[in-house]
Amino acid sequence: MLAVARLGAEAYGAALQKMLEETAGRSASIATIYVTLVRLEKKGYVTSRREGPTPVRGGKAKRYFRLTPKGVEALKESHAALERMWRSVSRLGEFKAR
Amino acid sequence: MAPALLRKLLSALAPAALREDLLEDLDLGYRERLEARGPVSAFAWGLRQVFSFDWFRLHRELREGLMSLFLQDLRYTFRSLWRSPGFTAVVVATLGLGIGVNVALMSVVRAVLLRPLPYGGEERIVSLWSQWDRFPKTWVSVPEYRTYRDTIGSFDQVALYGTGSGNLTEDEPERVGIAQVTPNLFEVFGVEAALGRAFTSEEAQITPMDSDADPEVVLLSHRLWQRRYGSDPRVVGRRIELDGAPVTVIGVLPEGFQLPVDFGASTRTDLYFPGAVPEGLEPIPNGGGSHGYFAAARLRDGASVEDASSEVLLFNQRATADDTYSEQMRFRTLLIPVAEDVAGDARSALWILAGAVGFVLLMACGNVANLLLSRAQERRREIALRSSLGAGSLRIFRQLMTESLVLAALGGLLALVLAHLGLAALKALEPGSIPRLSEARLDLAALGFALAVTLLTSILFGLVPAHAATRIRSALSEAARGSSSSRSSQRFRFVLLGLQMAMAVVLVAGAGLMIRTFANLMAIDPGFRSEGVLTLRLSTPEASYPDAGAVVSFWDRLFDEVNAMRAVGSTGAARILPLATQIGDWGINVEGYVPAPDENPAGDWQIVTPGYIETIGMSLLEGRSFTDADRADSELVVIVNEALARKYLSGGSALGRSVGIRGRDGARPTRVVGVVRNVRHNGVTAEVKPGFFVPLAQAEYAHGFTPRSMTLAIRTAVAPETLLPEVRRIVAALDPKMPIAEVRNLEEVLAGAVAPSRFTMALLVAFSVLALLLACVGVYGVVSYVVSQRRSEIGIRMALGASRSSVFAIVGRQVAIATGAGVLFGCAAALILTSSMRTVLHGVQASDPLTFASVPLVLFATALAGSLIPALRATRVDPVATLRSE
Repeated sequence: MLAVARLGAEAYGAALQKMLEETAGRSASIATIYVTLVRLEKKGYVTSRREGPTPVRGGKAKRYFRLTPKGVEALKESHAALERMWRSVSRLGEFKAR
Repeated sequence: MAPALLRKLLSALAPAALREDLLEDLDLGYRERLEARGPVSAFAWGLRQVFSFDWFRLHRELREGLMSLFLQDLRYTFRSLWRSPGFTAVVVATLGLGIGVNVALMSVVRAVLLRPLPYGGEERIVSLWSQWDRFPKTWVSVPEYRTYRDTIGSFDQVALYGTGSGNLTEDEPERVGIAQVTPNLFEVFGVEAALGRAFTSEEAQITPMDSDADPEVVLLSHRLWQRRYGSDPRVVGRRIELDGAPVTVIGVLPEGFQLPVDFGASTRTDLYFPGAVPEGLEPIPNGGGSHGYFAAARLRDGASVEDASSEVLLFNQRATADDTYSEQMRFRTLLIPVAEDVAGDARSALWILAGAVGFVLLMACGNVANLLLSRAQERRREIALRSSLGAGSLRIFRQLMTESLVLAALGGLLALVLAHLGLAALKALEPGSIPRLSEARLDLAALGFALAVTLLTSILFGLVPAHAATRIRSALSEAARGSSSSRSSQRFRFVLLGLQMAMAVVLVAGAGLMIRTFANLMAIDPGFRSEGVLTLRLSTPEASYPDAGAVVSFWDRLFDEVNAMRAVGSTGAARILPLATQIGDWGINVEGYVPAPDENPAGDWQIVTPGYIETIGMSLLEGRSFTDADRADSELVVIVNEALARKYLSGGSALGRSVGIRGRDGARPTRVVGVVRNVRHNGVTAEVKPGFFVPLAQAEYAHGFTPRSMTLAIRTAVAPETLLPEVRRIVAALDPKMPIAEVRNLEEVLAGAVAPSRFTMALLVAFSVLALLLACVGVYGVVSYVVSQRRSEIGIRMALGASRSSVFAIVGRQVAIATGAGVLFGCAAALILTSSMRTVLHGVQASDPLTFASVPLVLFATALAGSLIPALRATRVDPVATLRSE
């Protein structure tokens, strides 16, 4: 979802795959990415739309994914939750990097 | 662009909905890697994309999409079925009825014939019966039992048991079925006590078979334990009271266990006590001795029923050769596998009915096939149109498949409802003469099977021709012209129709034979008048009624009280009631009758009170009935039946002649005072054997004992049941410890005797009516189709001057040929198949000419009824309109 948010208007399958590989160092197959996307779409966090060819040479129709307001909300909530958890860990003072 | 191999692999694996997008992503990713790292790395990446386990997950995630496609098909199907309500209704009704009756009947077959008995290793258990000239299937004697046990090597164990009834007298008095059994009986039936233990042989010695000794220990049936003792496990060891004497409960039998003779019986055994067989080396007496017990054996490991049967036959032949049994007696031991024995007569009837419903199902399939063929024909145009507009053949196939499934599902649903109602109706119709019928539950396996058969039919006849239409593009133009379909397709329909007719013939012939059988049974005079008689069974145990005098005076007092009731015409009592309990015979010596060397004169022995003969409406042909003057100290008298008078007392009047009761000879002479018409005692169709009646007050002297249980009969002008409360009050006032059992009116008893035949007849008639209805629908469907196909031909003929009747003949001829062929073929098949009904028929041959002459009439009438409406429609074809359209 973060990847979809970061790519903004350019979120389509191949681009998402590339970004995940570059930022997270994880190589996921296209099928894996679509499984996630279809699930997110079913939950209503993202929507998809087929859009016409981009005006560059060789541009073709692609399926673009975009966060829904509900998706944005969920992303913010999970971010906030993570932050809270991190804070509580530092307060204990026991956290050590392995 | 990515290499073609990768693209092909991916499109094969990717879900259709996302195929384009995924291909695009593959291309983009491949290009980027090709530019950055070269072709090898790019291809390796591509392979990784294609060989991913996540395709399965992606397909699963998308299945909802497929579901929505299915829902779309479903919506379309319902719309199209809604548009042809006649077709839908007929198909669903046909399927529902065809499957429904099958499921109902197969549920019964399963419960009665196929469900395991409550025994361990039932396939190794056989029932033993005796058979001789006068008795096709009767009891076993103690000496015979000893011989089977000691000499037949194929038997592992043989058990002997006798049944009766007694009163539980502690607390609320209750009459229960009792059995005296050899201690090994439970081993023979492969069961162990659920609570407590079984009998020991020492306990059996206390109460030998054929003795009057009071039992000391009993086992309870699970049913009695639940009902009377509230499933209390502490009942083991408790003393209860049987006929006024204390007995100790030593155990409870497992749930569901009952003796083979209890299945389908009105009173079932609830109390068991042990009995030892008197041992001794004396040979079997002439004639086998007193036959009064049931026997069952468990086969030794490795021995078959055939092995045991041939061993037993050898014994039968030897015993006949050495004159133990006379040549004339033709004595045989019957070995019947216990499952067969329990199912009894119901077996053949049920298999006949199962065959009949099988035909009904096939006919239903035939109808559905015909209807679907017509529909497919009508829809050729629609399908061709859709396929030419770009619907893939897979898409059309799926659509038609959905339609078949929906029709089958609707039919199945209706079938489920009908089967449920049908099963309830079967249970209600049958008054308990079919064992284990009450245990029948809706059989889902039968439903599954019937559904599968019909689904296969609808796929075969609905999909195949329709699918063919998607290939033949010319179907469009063909359908547009409205030309007649191929001759072979029409011929196929008529063949199908002919086969349906043939099956209907078989069913109608079977039903006809059963109707004639039942009519014959109803025409039989049982020898008594059954209407307006209440009957109930009472017993006078020795504890309260020590001798014959006490018993007789109890009955006298009871009659006085009951006769004083309002609306009571007369009363009487008998040892056993006709058509309710089997009667056996007793040897006699008749004055002036010289028996043949091997002959043993005997008569069915009945003990009655004064008033009984009048109460059940027997007719006195000669002499007098019993009166209160026939006391213990007066002259001993008997009344004989016609059969006895004819066989042993021919030549002059029977009155005044002497009939000596064997074993009591020389005590006091017994004189015949009356002759009565024959009473059908052992079944309405059983041969009436010589029989004689002794008054209760004299039984002690005539037979040597007084019966402890008698059936009271009360004739009344009002509804018999209304007397019951008052009778109960009278009995309770005379003896508060006396239970009342087997309350029935005589009409129920008579109806029960013909119930199996009535059951078979009612069902066969219902099935054949259903078959005729299906045949009628079949004819209607085919004729409508032919008329619609030949509309233009008919129009042209009419334009050329053909009369209405000749148009009618065009259509009628084909139906007549199909029906005629079906009837011929069906009659031939019926002649073969009805021969299997021989055992359930009475007074009519399996090839009864009257039945077989009337069946074709019924079938032609059905064909006429089915073709009338569409044929009339054919004669109304407007020649002008036809010509214009051509």
